Amino acid sequence: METEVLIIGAGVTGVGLARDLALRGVHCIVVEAKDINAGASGANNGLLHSGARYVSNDPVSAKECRDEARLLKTLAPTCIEDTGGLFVAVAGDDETYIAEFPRLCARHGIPVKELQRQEALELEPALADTLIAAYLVQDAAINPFRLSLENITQAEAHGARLMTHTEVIRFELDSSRIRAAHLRQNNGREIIVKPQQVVNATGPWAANVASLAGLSIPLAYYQGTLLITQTRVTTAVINHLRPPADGDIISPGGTVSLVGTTSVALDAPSPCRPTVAEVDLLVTEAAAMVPVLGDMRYVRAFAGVRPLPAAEQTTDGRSLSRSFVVLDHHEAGVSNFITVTGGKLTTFRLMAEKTADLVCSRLGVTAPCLTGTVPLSVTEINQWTEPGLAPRIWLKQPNPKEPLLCECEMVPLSAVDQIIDNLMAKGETLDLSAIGLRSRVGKGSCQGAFCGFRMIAHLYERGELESDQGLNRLRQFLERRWHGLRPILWGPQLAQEELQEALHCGLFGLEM
Amino acid sequence: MTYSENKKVDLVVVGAGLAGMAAALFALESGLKTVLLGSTAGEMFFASGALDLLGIHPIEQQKRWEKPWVGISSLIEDCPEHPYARLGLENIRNGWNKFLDILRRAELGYRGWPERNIMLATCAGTFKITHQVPETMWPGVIGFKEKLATLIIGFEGMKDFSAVQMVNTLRDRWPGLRAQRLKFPYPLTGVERQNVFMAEALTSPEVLAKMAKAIISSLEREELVGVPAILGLRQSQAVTAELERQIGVPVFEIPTMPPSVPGLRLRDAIEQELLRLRAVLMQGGRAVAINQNGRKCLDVVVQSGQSQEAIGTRGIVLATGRFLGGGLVAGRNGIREALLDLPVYQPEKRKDWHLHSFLDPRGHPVNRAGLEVDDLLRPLGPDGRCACENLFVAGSLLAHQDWKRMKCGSGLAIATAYGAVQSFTNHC
Ligand SMILES: Cc1cc2nc3c(=O)[nH]c(=O)nc-3n(C[C@H](O)[C@H](O)[C@H](O)COP(=O)(O)OP(=O)(O)OC[C@H]3O[C@@H](n4cnc5c(N)ncnc54)[C@H](O)[C@@H]3O)c2cc1C
Ligand SMILES: Cc1cc2nc3c(=O)[nH]c(=O)nc-3n(C[C@H](O)[C@H](O)[C@H](O)COP(=O)(O)OP(=O)(O)OC[C@H]3O[C@@H](n4cnc5c(N)ncnc54)[C@H](O)[C@@H]3O)c2cc1C
Repeated sequence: METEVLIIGAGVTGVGLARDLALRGVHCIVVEAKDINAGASGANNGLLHSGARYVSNDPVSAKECRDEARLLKTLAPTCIEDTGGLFVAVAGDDETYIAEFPRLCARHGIPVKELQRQEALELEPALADTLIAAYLVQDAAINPFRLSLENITQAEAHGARLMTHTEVIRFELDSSRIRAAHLRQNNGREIIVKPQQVVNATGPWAANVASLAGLSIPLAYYQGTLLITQTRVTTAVINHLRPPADGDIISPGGTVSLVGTTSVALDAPSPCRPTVAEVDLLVTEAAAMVPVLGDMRYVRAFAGVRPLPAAEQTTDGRSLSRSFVVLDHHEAGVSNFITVTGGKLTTFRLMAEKTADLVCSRLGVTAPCLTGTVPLSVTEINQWTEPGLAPRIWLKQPNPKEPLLCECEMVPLSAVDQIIDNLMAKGETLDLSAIGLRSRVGKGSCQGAFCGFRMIAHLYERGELESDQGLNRLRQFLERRWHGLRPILWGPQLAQEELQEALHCGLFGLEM
Repeated sequence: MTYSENKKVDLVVVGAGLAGMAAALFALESGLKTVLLGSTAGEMFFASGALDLLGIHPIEQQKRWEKPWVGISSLIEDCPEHPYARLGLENIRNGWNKFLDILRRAELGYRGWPERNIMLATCAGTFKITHQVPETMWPGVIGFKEKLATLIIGFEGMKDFSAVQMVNTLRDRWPGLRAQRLKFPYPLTGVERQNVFMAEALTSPEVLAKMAKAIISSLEREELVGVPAILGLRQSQAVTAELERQIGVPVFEIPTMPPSVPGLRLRDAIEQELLRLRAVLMQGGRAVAINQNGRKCLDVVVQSGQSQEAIGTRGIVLATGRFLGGGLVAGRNGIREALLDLPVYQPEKRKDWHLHSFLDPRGHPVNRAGLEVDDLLRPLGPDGRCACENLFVAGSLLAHQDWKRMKCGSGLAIATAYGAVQSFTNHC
């Protein structure tokens, strides 16, 4: 197999780069070890940063976020809910930091408006009584799943190719370049690709992939954990007005809220798993701003890894820059290899642009970058990732004849069929997580206990599964959901778990 | 029948899951004036309707017991804290047999082999180890044993049941299976409680006849037909017999995802029996407090809608279940018993409640949390002595058991209900 550019990693950076190159007429193949957004891009706060969070300690990121957020709001509005954001301080927070904040924002050109206490409480009634300061900023919520799916969909429409469940395991090196990349698919098959240029867009795994070419990239790894509430608690993004710390951000995700994050140093980019201690910390910290979060029902926790380019790790990594790096490995003796890592979801387009510029200059392509002016096209098939969309459609036009495959999120069977057809047309793996990624199935309060079983039943009815394949897929799916359930099992969610276990072990004996 | 305030009762049973209902039955049978508190929905709404006694022990080794009573003896030896060990073999047997007698009287047929467990095929294509199954499931048990050529029927739009899945998954172990999808002979809605809706529809002779016709035309050389467990919300045996008569081969039901129709039938049958025995059922009632005098419970305070009343009683059976039932409440920092704040045996820290793999064969430590009791099933107080002399615990609320993994849910509920009532009659 040959291509102009091999992109490794289908996080938002990799798919953004694929779209950028495809729009410039460059052929590329994206290979992804697991599935779209399997890494940090599927495990973040979904906050489109106005830049305000970084004014005190990371001015480069602040400016990048400011400009990119503005641009994305006009070019990819379907993926964004323009909620606005609040920076709030409560009794006990550092007064000098509070006083400094509007000045710092102004210095970096980040719009900010001071709110009276009463005004803020009217805007966000869930805020704590202990509120002492509030500023309005231009933060927004972004749906990372929709974003990545639309990017790759448009890239594919322009000739790019995506291969999921395909891992880069080895490079064949010449004296000065990568001649071929060896890929392994999850069915064990090996493929060889001969690319002109190779881009390593594997985020936290960037050092691992670079080492396949004999290169070393100093990266520090920090795990961040987040919680998902059962219902949305605020209209706007809420940030804690203090130097960045744990449990600072409450961002809306459609019908739910996301509470994040922690920052725990890791030795390696995987595995990362949310822990009970992190969950407790988040609940306590977030409840200081929004007290209902203290007794909220959480349906899930999840964790992602931030790769921060740095020589040495600090204890929590908060002081390291969130800006990105584009590393040209030409100097180090591999002339057709580039790594892009670090950065933010908010700045993915810029990261892709800078990388694509370098790739194009090497390929001698002069076509300009279009992602700063051409709107991100949207496709119906990707709409099911949107929280709350299915219930809205259902309530507008209920069809009592059509079974809801997922009752928590009200996803009808026809939507799941659409997704399956689409996956099959592209020859992608039909596992439950793949369907879950492209819809809301499994994301509601049952966390897959019911809809997981239904999806299997449905796949059998469609003839996509044979012998006892389905049982193993179900087991895998339940185990994956479990990582996110385990640390939040108290209150009603523990009762839900008990029901799930009664069903899957008590009745079906899946543990045997 | 309503409760009259000035009369004291013998026994108040708090919680109307399987354990509570069984306790009320046993109490009434021995002539006690009994009040049963709580909605009878409980977990029965979910339970498959099969009655498990003991399937697996020790669970870490996944050791299966073909002979449950032998398994129980071994369990009693290995785990002196397990509620079965508190009761002793004799009590468990007596309670179990008595319960089956009651079902027989209530004309809800159950079947099993005298000393052996059953392998019951589920809609997932797995086998469930259980001890007694509804009569309507029995032909399937035999069918599997003899590997009869069998037609499994599924219905279009029935989202929780796939005949194709069952047949494919079971193919190696039950080669004579074939799947057939039919249109349900009555307009199906896609909304919740689909199974119940279908079972209700099949009580109509016309609907049943239409279904029979459709099955006949799809039968090839099969000697047996399996359908999801929806053959009538009531009188399932009559409905099944009629279907068999029309199609000319034996028919069996297959346990489904919740809501479980056989679970509802079991509940209805017990409820009828309770009413016949003149139980006072306070369906809307929730126990909110228990007044005590020293180590003696005096009454149960019941909340029904807006009103509260205290029911004076000589004894109490606490059968409020676990987290799902509401007997146990878990906060971030620990597990409490909901009604009396009795000490709960539990892992020290929340991080130790659950293992890292959901299906880990050892079972999650939190499943063994619950109330610790003495040999009379009276809960222990903080001092390690019996907290109340006339309060007894039954069912899944008890500590040191993992019914989901040991496959002993109904046995535990029934036997401890029996034990609790025995203790009450002998000691109060
Ligand atoms: C907890 C947390 C919260 C965050 N919150 C926000 C936020 O609110 N707003 C914001 O703007 N940013 C946020 N970020 C940052 C943002 O999520 C990341 O910067 C961004 O998602 C990085 O995307 P990526 O594509 O570079 O990397 P990833 O999304 O990690 O993608 C890398 C991909 O490479 C694949 N891969 C790895 N090795 C191989 C291989 N050998 N072969 C093939 N494929 C491979 C992986 O499977 C993965 O899918 C957050 C990050 C974290 C961790
Ligand atoms: C999905 C599922 C599948 C199952 N499958 C099987 C199976 O195949 N075989 C089998 O043998 N068993 C099965 N079981 C059921 C199991 O046997 C019993 O239901 C279980 O052991 C619990 O019984 P219990 O009566 O102790 O508790 P529960 O059934 O939880 O009953 C407790 C009751 O107490 C009530 N309550 C709580 N607090 C109060 C209060 N303060 N006042 C009044 N009422 C109160 C609750 O509302 C509830 O109705 C299954 C259960 C489930 C959930």
